[in-house]
Amino acid sequence: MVNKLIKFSVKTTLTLVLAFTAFSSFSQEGEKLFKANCASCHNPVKNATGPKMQGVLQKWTDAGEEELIYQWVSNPSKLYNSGKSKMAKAIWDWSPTAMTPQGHLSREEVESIFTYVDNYAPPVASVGAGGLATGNDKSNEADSSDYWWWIISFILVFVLFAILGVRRELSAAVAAKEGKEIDPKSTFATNAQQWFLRNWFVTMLLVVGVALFSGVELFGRAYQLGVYEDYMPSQPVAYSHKLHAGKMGIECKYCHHSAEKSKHAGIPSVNVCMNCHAIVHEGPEYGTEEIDKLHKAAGYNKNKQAYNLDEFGDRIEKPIVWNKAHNLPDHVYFSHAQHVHSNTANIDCRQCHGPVQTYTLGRVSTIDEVNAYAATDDGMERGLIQLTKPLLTMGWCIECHNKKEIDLTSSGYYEEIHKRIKLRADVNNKIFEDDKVTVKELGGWECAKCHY
Amino acid sequence: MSKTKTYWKGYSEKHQTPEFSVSSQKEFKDDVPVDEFLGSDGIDDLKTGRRDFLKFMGFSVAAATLASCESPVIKSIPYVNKPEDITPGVSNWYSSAYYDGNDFANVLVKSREGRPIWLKGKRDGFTQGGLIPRVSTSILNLYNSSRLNGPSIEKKAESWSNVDQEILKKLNNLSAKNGKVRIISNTVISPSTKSVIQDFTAKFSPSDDSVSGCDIKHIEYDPQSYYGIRKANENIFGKSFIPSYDFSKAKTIVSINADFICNWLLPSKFSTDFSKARKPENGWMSKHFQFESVLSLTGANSDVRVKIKPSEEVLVAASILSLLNNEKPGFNLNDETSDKIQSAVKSLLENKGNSLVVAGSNNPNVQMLVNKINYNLDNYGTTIDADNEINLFNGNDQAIEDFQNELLNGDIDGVIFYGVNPVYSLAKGADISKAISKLDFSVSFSEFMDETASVCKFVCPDHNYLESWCDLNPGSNNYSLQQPLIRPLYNTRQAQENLLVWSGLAVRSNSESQAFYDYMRKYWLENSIGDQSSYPNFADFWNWTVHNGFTNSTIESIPSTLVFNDYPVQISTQKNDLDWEYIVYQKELGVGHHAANPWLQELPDAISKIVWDNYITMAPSDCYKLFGIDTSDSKSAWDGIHLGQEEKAFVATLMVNGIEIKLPVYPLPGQTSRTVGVSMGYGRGVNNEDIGNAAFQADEYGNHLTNANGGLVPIGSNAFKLCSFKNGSLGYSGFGEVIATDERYALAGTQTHHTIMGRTSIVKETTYDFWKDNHKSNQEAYNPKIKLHSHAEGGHSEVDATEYSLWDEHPVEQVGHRWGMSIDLSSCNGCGVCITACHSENNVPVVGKDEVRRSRDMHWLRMDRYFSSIEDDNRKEWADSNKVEGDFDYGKLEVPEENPSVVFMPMLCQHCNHAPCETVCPVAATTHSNEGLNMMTYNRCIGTRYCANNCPYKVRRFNWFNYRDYKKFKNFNPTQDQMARMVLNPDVVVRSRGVMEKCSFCVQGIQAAKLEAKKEGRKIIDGEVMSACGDACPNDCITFGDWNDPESKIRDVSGSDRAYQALEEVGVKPNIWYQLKVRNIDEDLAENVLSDESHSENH
Repeated sequence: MVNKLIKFSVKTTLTLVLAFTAFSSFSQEGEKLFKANCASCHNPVKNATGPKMQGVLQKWTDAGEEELIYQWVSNPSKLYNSGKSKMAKAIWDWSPTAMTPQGHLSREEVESIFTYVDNYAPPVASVGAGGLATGNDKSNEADSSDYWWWIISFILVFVLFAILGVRRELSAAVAAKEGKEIDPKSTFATNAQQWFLRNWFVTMLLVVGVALFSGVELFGRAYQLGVYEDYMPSQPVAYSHKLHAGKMGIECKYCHHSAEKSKHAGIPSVNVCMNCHAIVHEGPEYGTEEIDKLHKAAGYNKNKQAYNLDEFGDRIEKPIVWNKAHNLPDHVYFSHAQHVHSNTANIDCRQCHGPVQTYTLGRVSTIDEVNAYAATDDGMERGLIQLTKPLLTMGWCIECHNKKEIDLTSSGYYEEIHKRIKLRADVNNKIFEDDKVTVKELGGWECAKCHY
Repeated sequence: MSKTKTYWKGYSEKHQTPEFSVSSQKEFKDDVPVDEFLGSDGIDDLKTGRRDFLKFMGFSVAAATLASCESPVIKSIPYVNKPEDITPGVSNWYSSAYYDGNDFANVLVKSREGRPIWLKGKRDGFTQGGLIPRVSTSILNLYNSSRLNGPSIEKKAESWSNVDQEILKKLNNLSAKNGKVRIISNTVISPSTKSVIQDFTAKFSPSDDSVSGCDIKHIEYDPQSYYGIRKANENIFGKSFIPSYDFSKAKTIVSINADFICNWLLPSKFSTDFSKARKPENGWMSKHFQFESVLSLTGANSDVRVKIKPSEEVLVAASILSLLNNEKPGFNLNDETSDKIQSAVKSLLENKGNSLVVAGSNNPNVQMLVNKINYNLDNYGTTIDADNEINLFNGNDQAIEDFQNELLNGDIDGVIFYGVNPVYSLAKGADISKAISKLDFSVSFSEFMDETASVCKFVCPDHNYLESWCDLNPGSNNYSLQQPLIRPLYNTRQAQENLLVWSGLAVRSNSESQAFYDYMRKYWLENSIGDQSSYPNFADFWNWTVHNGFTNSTIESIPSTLVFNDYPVQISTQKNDLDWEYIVYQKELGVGHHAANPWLQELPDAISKIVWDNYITMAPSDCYKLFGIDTSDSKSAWDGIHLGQEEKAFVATLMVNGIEIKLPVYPLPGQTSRTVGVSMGYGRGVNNEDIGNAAFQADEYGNHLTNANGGLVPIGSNAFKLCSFKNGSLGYSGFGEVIATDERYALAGTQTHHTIMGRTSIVKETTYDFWKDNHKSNQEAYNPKIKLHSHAEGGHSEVDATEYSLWDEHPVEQVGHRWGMSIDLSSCNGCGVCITACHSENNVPVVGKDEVRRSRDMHWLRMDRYFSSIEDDNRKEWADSNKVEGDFDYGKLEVPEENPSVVFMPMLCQHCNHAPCETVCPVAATTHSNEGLNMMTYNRCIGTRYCANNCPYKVRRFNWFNYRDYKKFKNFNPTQDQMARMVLNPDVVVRSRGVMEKCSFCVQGIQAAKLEAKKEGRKIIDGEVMSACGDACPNDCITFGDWNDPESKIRDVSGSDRAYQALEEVGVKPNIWYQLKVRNIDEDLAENVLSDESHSENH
């Protein structure tokens, strides 16, 4: 039923998308520009460091300053100082922060941003996200029910022994009454032994059954070793991706900015947080409590809006010790740059990290969540692939390497490789058999590509 | 109110039994005597059989596995304020310079997240990419956890401000009574530092005589002194200087005991220059004569090597001079030496004006003769540049001897030591130590509580060179800059800053103080140092100089005309009753600064292949005599002195003027008879000075050995004790007595065989003349392809061995990449930088002496050293004896001749396309990549070691232990030290126990370069990918690249006339080519070619 619903909604959306292709391409441009230039301070529908942007254009138009807004965007202080705009004064007084001038944006670009913002609809909690919440709860339930199972089993075993004891007493009494000789050595153990010997076939079945069951169970459990799905360690600061990436729509690579340059995506350094939190001192959920921890780490005095310095003029800093959520074994070399750079695999972060905008702390997603997200419109648009193996396992890596295609015409590097492959068609015809070249076919399954 | 209670853990404690009071002092119980227990007869009666043991083992493994299921929480600490130019996970490179008083090199340092982890020679600057193992491994010295953390007064830790106060008080006191203060430093080549010292001197000893002040004198002192050269130049040319030598231009080189490739004067430059003239493709090759006593690396690379005694150095030089003057030398030299001198002179005369004669002796007489020879040969202005001086080694032996006498006589009131350790490096160290400890004012700037620092009142530890700013002026025109790569790890201050603070010219701030940096910049600006005029302003100039690491001064030096003065030379034909001569030489360990560097200690000596030890080198024939070996059969005689895991070395005592040095004996082919050599730099920390754990001997359980007094036992003996002042200069050789002892000592060597044992397909060599005549027409003559006999077509034919293979072709050609390497044996001089570079790049474990003795060294790349000989008796013998079936003994091939020639061959995984290791792995842990790499997957390996057995090159290394945890390695493995582990390369995994490891062709670098190319959307540029060994190789012997790129250099050289593949007859199709060695000798190798043919016939 649910599936049908999803399919239906997907279809509808697709039709809608097709209908508004022209509009959406304009809006896509706007989205890109918004995220690159505005999103760190503005949210389309909520006040953040800057005011919410939806309807702003209308407000200025209403105030008769439709043309001035473009001047404002390109240089706010100039417009304010000129004194010819009431809106500019209102905003200036509203926010303690001066807006960064965006003079590099052309008028068309700013227009496309406004178009995007005005047509922006906050993401409704998607089916995937809903499933996620209950999924989490379920796993917790499973944990607690395990505990109950043990208690019930224990009671059952106790009852069983009690009944057996009663039965034995009774049969002894019957035997005594019938005048049969009672074996004084007879115990539970000997009785059981005799019973098992009599019913050897049942015994065999039992033994085989137990062996099979425990073997399968052991194997299954062993497979779970080192699998970190759904791992969400506690953190010293209650940071929320849901708030920053979800509500505020801040681009992942704004904070994890080394993802395209390095093997590490990087846990953001405190100075990145302070880009906004030098001004934002209060959060929606914890008030000042959590942001104060940031200020303490950075050595920032929010009242003076200045950094504390030691006798030599250096900032008094105290690093934050985070708990790492995504742990790969030491013998695995993984490079974010290889996977997310636009000239390399250009994979969307959510392919491996799932719908991060719905989590609070850093957390390892599960394959089900990723697949659910991949099935959404957004996921399909981003080209996410559905996989089966648990996240952050080697099976999952190579599964993707087997499915993911490489565009051999995309860049200079692959062009050269393509040229060379074609030189030896006899050896390489297998690669082109199915009209697509996967990572695996170029050696993505080879050990020393990741292990060294 | 609570009652006072007594707690005790047992009756023994309650009653304070004597046993308890003893044992309570120990943190750990005495060792359980396992040996006795295991050795007892009762063990056979124990009920626990082998099978039970295995069961328990199995159970405990399962239990441990289950217990380890709980994953630990891993912490991650990002920067608070991330420096703009650091991206975690991306390396930064900074240029700097290395100088420690003994070696200089311009270097490029790789830094990860602010930690310097690897370095290589900078291809420009003064040393032009030159590097030696001492500099290559110096990065590990930074992380030595024995470095001092803060200043101290009389060994009590103090704050810097207190130390400053106390020192100023003492200095003022000394000023008041006109005290004599001496600053003893190594040669200071930093102009700013010189100025700082002058400022300090001026402050406390004013030139105005009416004011009371100290008598301060700055004395430069080099433990390995080159005073002889300066003195000789002073006598002959009227100027005390060291000229620069250009080995790359010299067509004939004659070296008398100068090991310029690894140790003499400026090896980081000379080694590179020498190699440049050893590539036959240049159209010419230098011809190199070496007269020496101990077979050195330079001797091993020479074309003609002559064994002489140290006392004959002067005679050889005098003979050459006489012959040049057309006089008959009337010196008592043996016939062979006289012959070779004549051929050397002939060659020198042929290349008059383009030759070079150098001598290693510190005796001004020898150096004066050498000057006269070079002058006579018109070498000044061509190979010797007297205008571009080398500023290193400015030490004045006379002054240091005077200082020593003054100090011992108690005439000195205060002393400051900077960069020197005279208590260790002067023969009278013990007396000096006593004299220093009596002084009221003694300061040491040592990084460690070393021999000298531990007797000084004040110890003000200096930064490591990777933490300091400094300018260095190694040669006339060049100004190199040292820049800090890391914040100071300990509470140390730069020595220059201390002097500035004490002179009142700077104020102390925190550890990142810029006091000396500011001073230096100001000094450069005021003195217009370097090429400032080419830049718009000083700031630009400075930034580019820091970036480049050096600047060349633009001041045109006016060529000075040397005024030759035929200073008379005393040629003493020394006679002595003692018939042994000794020579103290320098080897990889240098003058002792690096004694606690495990990478350097584990680098096998280039010739002996011994690690972690010091020894007496002795000619094998002398060993036979001294230790009473039966010499009736050459093979059994050699076996009698053979060193191996079971065969320990003999121990002998060297007695010189009452000083005794007892060391194991290494039988060294090529050593002059009746001479012995001892290397300097060992025997550090005799009185338990804390210079680092790796400087002391450890037993087979990894614990430090202790002597009778409970003190630690240093590695080797201090040979500086034999280097006393002779006629005003430090002497490194002389006469002595060698006495055999009954003791035996285990030496650890990485190579226990000596010759190539007749397998000539490993190393191919030819002579320059032969190559010149044949390389266009007849390559087969010197680079014969190995043939196999074929009967495929009925008859008998010969086919290239490489045409046969058990396997199908591996599709690497022209597919994607195919990584290949070529190693030029002709320009490789065996210095070992590739080994140390590989060691640090790939986190190769240090295993220590005991494990090396068990042949468990872990080097991924080794330098095979083969003794060979042109008139190879062994080979002839082999060919002869092979004619009679059953009369052949391979062992005989092991006996090298008395003065062998030497071949070095870097041996690493050959990345065979038909790799024998891959087919025998039961779990497919070693497989072939589509880029031609032989991949090793540690996490899949179960340690069967079949692959190692099947490897024809023996380059696979089994990881026997958990080197980073097991206590056996605690004293020397860097991974076991909190500090030293920072040197690990985060891109390469630290392997665990039970896996096979080997060279990966630095796959991390290949992957990184590919990623860079992909990101930039371009193909890989040839030369962009380089393995660590090739990157560090100062002589560009190693070519690395993508063979599938038809434009690449590797494709070119792999098809050259000198290219061959090691053991190509095995048919494994390696991806490594070697370029055969070319020697510039007159004898042709026809005989060898002949024996090669006979070799193949016998297959």
